[in-house]
Amino acid sequence: MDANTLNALVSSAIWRAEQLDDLELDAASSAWLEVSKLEEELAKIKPAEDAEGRIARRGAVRAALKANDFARAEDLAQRFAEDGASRALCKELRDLLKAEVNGLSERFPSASRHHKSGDVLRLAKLLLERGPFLLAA
Amino acid sequence: MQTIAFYSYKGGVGRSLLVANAARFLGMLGKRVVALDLDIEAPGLHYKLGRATDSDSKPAIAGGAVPYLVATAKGAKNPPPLQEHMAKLALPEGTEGWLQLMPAGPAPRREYWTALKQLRERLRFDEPSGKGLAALLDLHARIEDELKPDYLLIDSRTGVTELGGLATTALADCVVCLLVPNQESVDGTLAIVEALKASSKQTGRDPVRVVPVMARTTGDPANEGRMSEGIERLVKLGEGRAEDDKKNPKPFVLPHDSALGTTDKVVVGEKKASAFSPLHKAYLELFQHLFPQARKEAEEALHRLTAVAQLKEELTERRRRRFRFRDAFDPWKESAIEEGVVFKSDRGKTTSYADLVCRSAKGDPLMIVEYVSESEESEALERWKEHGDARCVILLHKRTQYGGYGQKVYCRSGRWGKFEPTDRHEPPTPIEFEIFENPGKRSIDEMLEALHRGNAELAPELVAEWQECMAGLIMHKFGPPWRPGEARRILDGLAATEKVEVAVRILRYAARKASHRPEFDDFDERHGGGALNTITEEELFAPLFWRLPAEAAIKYMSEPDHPFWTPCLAGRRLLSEEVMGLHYDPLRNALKESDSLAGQLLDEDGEGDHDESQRLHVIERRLFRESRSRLCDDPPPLLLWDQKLRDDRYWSGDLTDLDGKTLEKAKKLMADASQLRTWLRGRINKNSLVTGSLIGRYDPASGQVELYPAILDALGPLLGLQPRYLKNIVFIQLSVWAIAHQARDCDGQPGFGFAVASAASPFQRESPAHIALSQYFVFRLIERLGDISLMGAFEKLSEKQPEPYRRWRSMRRIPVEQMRTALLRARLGEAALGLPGAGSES
Repeated sequence: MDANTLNALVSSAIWRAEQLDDLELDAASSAWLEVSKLEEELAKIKPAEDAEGRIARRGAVRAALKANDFARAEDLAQRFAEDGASRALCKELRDLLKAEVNGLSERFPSASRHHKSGDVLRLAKLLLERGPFLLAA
Repeated sequence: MQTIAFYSYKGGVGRSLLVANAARFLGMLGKRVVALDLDIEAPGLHYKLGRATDSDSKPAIAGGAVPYLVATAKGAKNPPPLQEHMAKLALPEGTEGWLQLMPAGPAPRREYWTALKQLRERLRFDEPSGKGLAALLDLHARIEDELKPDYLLIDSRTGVTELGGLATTALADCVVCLLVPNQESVDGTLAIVEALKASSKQTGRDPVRVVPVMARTTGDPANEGRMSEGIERLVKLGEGRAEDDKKNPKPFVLPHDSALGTTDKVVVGEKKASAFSPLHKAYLELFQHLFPQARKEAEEALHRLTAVAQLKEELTERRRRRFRFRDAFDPWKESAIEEGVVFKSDRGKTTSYADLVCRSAKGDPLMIVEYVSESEESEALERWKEHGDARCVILLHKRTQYGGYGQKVYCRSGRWGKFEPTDRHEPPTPIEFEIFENPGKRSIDEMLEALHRGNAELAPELVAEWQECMAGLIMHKFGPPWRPGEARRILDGLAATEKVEVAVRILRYAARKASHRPEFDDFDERHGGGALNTITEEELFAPLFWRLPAEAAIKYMSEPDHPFWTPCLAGRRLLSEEVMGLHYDPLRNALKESDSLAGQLLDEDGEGDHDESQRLHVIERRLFRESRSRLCDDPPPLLLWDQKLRDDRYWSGDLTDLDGKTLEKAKKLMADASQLRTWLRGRINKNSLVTGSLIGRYDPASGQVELYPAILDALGPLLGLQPRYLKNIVFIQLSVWAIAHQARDCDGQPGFGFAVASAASPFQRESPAHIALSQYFVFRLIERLGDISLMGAFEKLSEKQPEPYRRWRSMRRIPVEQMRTALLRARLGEAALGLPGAGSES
């Protein structure tokens, strides 16, 4: 798929996700995940030095966070860093993750004293994937 | 803070009740405890714990875990104050620990379900943002940081749910998994336990302890098949009981308790013995394992409850004493025992806790029971010396050397006395507090005195005491020491009983004790218990039969369950076999009598209308229902003759044609004490107090012995004798006549068969030789009984009787064997009935 098509899809996906977010609907998370995936596809086409490439990478991570999928956001940031993203972009992506973690810590200060927020987010991801008691395969 | 989650794959296993019991247990041991209800779909922990402090209502709290999490989900900057969502629960006074409850919410009120709906909308525990998980972890951390409890106990959601999963995998250090003994529950629990054990690797947490607990069991779980394998695997994955076999631990078990199950009562922490049940015991055994820091306390609580419950059971049931032939006094009534009583000192400064208080009918404390460690005994005694008026303190303690429970009985005389140790092994019974000033020091004399005052309850105890005194004679090293002197004292004391009801009870117990009791066969046969029964029959029952008031013997012999019961006949056997040399066998006599009766009935019933059952009914009535001895209130024949002859000097001498007028006059005389005394004085002055027809009568046709109590009661004071002894003498005299007719000689033929006076005519009197002979046997029996009072009465009465009644004095030196030989010869026609030493008839 070419960049133009992907750009068009991303724009409409973002618009939809924002609308769903405004309405506080559950589907917003999956809409943001869709945005994140489209941005990831775009990032594959556009190099990291390119402005559009930087925006796509940043958008993929931010959308993953908006989709409440911290593990995916962390994974994307890690991958983009390894694929030659600039130092500035890497910092920007780390800041996004940090802000998310800090947000959780600020909201639940007692929990943060006993648990690292990252661990909490990772455990949440694990529980989501494996279900209660991690029983699901 | 240690977090323990209580989980069950299926509901209705008693999980919340276990949480409530565990929380209260820890709280009472001085631990700081928070109980958190995360069973948000069906919350109930507040009911269980609410009832522990207040029987009517749940804890007054509007908040709880659900309202708290809703407030958190709204994203408020300042987290809601924890205390608004907690309820502090009361623990017994003096408890150092505390117990706080965070219920799920004010369920089942409407606002709770509204809050739960909001929670579902705003906070999902499986959302990838981690908000749900973080909110729960935050609550957990706040409880730890702000309340600083030692334990957080979580009542987790049943089944496979996000919240249940988080409580067990993300919060708990230990998970107690409850299951019931069925395949569905075992399989489901096994899947969860395997997942829990595996989860720590994936989550990076420390391995979680898992304790499977089988709940609602009604017996031993199956030890074969798939279910058994599942249980075995559960215990291998988790932790089990290893008391019996360390290599093969078993699951912890909470037995089904229908009584507790329906009330949902929190029993742990209750010191009352009545709260003790198999389920309560199982809770404490589980807690010993679950809370290693509290193991000692749980063990102690278990020992206390077991010991107190055992003692209470012992107090309220009739016990067997040291020797198996002993009975016991009436036990304590359940209502007389109060449990868990706190006594305050007079100044109200100090308190003492009694596990049991046994009270008198008025409610005064008589006996205190307390469980203490051996080192605290003297301190406890000092305390009880000051508190209350109890006269006995029983201190229970665990035996360190031999296991089990020991008890020491301390008694004192009055409320100010010092408690002294006693050599009693068993606690005193209620009556002992009435009888003895100091129940620790029982004496035979005090017991006898109380018996004579009318405490019939003492009869079995004294009979048992007599047996214990005599047991050494037969049982040798297996029995207690032989104490013939004390046995004699008891026998004489029992025989001196005046009250007829008490005397009947003595005879009843003596007969019962003399009978063979099959349940003691082994013991008795090995150690001479059977012989003890025989001795009791011959040396206790038989003498008492003649020495106790005659009314008692007559009443006892008329009781429906006695006829021909061997111990009851021991009295008559003593007279017939030991004294008169005749064989007394009422069963054989009854058999013959029944044959004769059956023959008579057949003769009467020429048409053959009577069927066999009718005949049997007649025989049964004659043999078993009609009493062979009785007290008769009618005027005696001699009085009737006397009245008749006053009116008609030429009377033929046949009472069969007695007119009503004479009878009326005789009755009138009987009713007038003064007239009766005057009439009797006349008889006394003429030494004509004949036994037959005046003070008693024997009817050979019916075999019945009759005593005339009105005459005897009037006669006693005139002779300077107690009527009761007079009645005994007359009863013995007439019984000699009865035995002479009913017993058989050594050749199997009927005995002496003395010709008796006719009840109808004053002119057919007994043979003087027969009278002399019967008096000889009366003397011999009284001599054998060794009863001075009876002997005195016999001597005095015979002095006022006609001459033949006094001949026994000259015959007293003749050995009984010589007398029997002479009688046998006389019966066989070898010699006239000129009795040796009897002198000539006057």
